[in-house]
Amino acid sequence: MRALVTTAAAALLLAACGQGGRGDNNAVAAPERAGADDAKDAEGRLAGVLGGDPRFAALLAAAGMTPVLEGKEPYTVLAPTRQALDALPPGSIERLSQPAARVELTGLLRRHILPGTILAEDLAKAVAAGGGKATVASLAGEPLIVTRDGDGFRIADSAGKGARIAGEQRLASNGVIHEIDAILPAPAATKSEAN
Amino acid sequence: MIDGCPPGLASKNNGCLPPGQAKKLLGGAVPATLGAALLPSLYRSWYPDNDDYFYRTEGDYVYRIDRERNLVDGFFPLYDDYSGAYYVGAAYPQDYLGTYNVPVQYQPWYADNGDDFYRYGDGAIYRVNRNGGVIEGIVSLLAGDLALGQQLPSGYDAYNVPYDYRDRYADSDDALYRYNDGRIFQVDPTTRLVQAIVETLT
Repeated sequence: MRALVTTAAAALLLAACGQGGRGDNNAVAAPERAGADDAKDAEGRLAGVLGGDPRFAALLAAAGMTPVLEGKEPYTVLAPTRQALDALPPGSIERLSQPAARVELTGLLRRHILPGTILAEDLAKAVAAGGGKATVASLAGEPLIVTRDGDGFRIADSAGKGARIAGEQRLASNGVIHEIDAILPAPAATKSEAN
Repeated sequence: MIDGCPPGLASKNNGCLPPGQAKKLLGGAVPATLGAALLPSLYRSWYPDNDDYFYRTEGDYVYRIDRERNLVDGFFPLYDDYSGAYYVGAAYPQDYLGTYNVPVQYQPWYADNGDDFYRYGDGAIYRVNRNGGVIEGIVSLLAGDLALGQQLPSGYDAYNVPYDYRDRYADSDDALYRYNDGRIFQVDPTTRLVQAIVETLT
């Protein structure tokens, strides 16, 4: 079963790169495919190919959430870019990394993880089918709204606070990573800002 | 008071029944009302009755009932409130620690072992140190919002099926497929009703 799964995943990764006829026009940086053994397969999972700014991975580790991205379950990760993390108020990363901030940090990170594997082409189809808008669930309990933004997408809460999906999607054997250009704010923060 | 409950209990959405009251059912015979109180659809699929146990609800708690002894041998909250009660470094509530409550589709991946328990709460599965009861890691996140026979909830406009299943479960005019909490569901494109669980991930 594992060999079958690994083969199927590899085929899809190749397809998404435009080599198998199923990819779209979005640039895809495919990770080096894992082999059939567990160690290499683990490297190909979201935790192994997260890339981007290492501070995001460090925040996931501080919240004890790295195993979520190491398991077999599929997720779509919205990973903030370096610029997005730089835009936080000074000292925010350090504060969020402290044990006293774990409730806040856990909630924040959950907003950046969606159930299942949602590729850019899936977003494109959903937004087109929805007349310019699609709703995706987040694992923080609050759905997010996706709209077109130039040749990319914008993802935001019901108050319109959100981020632009900024870079290439990165595929992992258990999901996909989209880079976003801002941290998705907490609903409460959004409300207070809106007021 | 919030909805007739003290704030602390209202936030847990448990019908004002404090854990201490729920705990009183532990070890006791199963009240007739409890025996007939089936779980909501979502939870029935997470905690199906089996040869050893059956699960019922009262006061917004799930009660696990030992068939052989016909007594309540565990309980845990029914609803998620995402209030931040569970996080790494916190103690998993002692009242629920003794009851293995990982949803059935995740049990092959997260079985208790010599060092750790695995426990569910507020949309996540935690690795818990079995000695101190401290949450050591979050191993899985669950959405908990998609159930058989119900309308597809907001948030599932986009196809999200994992790679390895896309060839078998592609959206068509006859059926939509959506992934949720370890399973792939078939959805009627017209009525948007969740019709079937077509796959459980392995």
